[in-house]
Amino acid sequence: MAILTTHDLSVGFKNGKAETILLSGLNLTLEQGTLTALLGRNGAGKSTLLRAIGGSERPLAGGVKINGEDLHNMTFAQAARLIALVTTERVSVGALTVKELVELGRQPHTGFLGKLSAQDREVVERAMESTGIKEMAGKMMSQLSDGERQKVMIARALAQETPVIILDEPTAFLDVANRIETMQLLGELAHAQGKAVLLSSHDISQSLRLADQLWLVTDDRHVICDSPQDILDNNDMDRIFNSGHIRFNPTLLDFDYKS
Amino acid sequence: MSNRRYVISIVTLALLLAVLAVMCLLIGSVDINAGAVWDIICGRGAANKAWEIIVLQSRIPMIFTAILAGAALAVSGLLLQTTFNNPLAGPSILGVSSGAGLGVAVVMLAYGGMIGSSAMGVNLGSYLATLFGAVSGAAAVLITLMAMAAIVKSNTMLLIVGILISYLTSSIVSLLNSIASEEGVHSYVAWGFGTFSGVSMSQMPVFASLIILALIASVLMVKPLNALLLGTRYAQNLGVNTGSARNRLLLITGILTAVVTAFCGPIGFLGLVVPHIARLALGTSNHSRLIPATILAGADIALLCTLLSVSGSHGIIPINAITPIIGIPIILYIIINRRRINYFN
Repeated sequence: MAILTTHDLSVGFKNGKAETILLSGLNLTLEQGTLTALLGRNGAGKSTLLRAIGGSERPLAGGVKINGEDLHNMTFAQAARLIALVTTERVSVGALTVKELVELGRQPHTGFLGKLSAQDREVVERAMESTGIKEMAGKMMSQLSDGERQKVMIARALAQETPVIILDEPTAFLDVANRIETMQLLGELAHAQGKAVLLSSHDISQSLRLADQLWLVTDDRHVICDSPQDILDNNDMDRIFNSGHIRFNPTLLDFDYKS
Repeated sequence: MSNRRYVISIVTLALLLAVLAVMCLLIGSVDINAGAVWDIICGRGAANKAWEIIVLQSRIPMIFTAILAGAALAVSGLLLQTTFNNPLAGPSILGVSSGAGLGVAVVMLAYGGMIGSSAMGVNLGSYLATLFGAVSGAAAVLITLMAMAAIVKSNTMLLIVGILISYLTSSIVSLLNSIASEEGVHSYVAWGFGTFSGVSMSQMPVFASLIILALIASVLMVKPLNALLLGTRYAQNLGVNTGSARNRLLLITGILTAVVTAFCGPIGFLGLVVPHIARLALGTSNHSRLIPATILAGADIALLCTLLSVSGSHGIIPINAITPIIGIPIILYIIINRRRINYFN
């Protein structure tokens, strides 16, 4: 079932009165229980699109609906119960333990003073368990590697218990093993917990293997929304990423040099 | 962080507070023996009437003032550091104290050239006007800082903006002084040294209730403060309206700094240093624990400064001559060990 839909969405940036449109006329859907990967060239507008869909920035035109309600008319508090974000920046959180950071994810559900109930604590435990960080619950964030940090941020998003999770290049700073593990983890979470997970990535072969659906940013400012198999069948990869020097190899699920 | 470390830190800070308060009661430029002090506090009076006046109208209000002012400046520094995501932010370095000072100077001039503690408390109207001037001055600086923070983005640049604001306000104050009476200039200079003996027992209810209310308000901001540790975007994603939360935080900061500055002068370094002492002691950035520890540590340091200020052989040493000696080594330690202190990473 579609949980998030965009309606003639245009995103870009404003500089005074001048508008730069990066992507326009987007009518996209995110399905519950699926992992969707957003692929595209550098500067194509992936992060800008994720910010508009995540509610951190207003779109230039059109809108985003979650469960039929307009995202950009909601208060921060209302949106916080529907969408959890994992951004691409590496945050210096100060001296917080892993557990304290994951507990921050409960803020949309706690009262004025942020006191955690027994149920909140249980959700935090489960979030740490499903991301495999339970053993480091008492560790300081500053002691963690980049891969571990990323898992904690994902656990925080899970603790928020939202139907939609959006991640901006969650695997950018990770090594191969951590990249694959993180993608797999996100796929499992989507399937097991019925969440709609949307992530942007530069890792084309992993996205083709592990994602249920792909959003492909084209050169003419559109986004193709299809299953990996259809994308392969239509030979979309070559059309979008072809720079003249590389060629998509469907058996490798990756690019080759043109000889 | 562990509960044990928290409990030990809080108990230690609280015991220190009690010890320092008692010492401030017993030590001063006039020697009064402990037995006599005890008698005076218990209301039994003392043979020497002057001693009674010194203990009841000088030492006791000074102790309360130091505790409240220290706590207020320290929490003000903590809120500024989190709001601007800048570990070197503080009410004095960002120019908030000097903004409040300028407000005080303007109001006191309007009241006939009398600036500073000698004029305060002459009547209720004049010191409420002083307070109003201080709050307006602090607010003007905080609004400027907010606007500049949105433009400059860089932490270092914002600190430089704060320092520039301080220079600007002090030059305006100098200009004002040039048209003020000699007596006014003299008391303004005296006020600028900083003192915790500027609040009389009759002014204490206003001073104390304003600060206590603002401290309670800061405790109620724990949830957005913790969310802001993750930066603006994550805080918004956690449901915090960051714009309005920042405004509320700056309002609390402004009240805390302005009230202290109006009564005690522009006291430097406390607001910058004490939150770091609290973080280093507790090993956490979690505000639900940091705020109580910051309140206690701020009161402790202010009492320590008071104690040192009355320990000189030739009268009272200005508070602002003492706070840099305590504060600067701690700031240098923090800057040098930046990479190793875990709350920076």
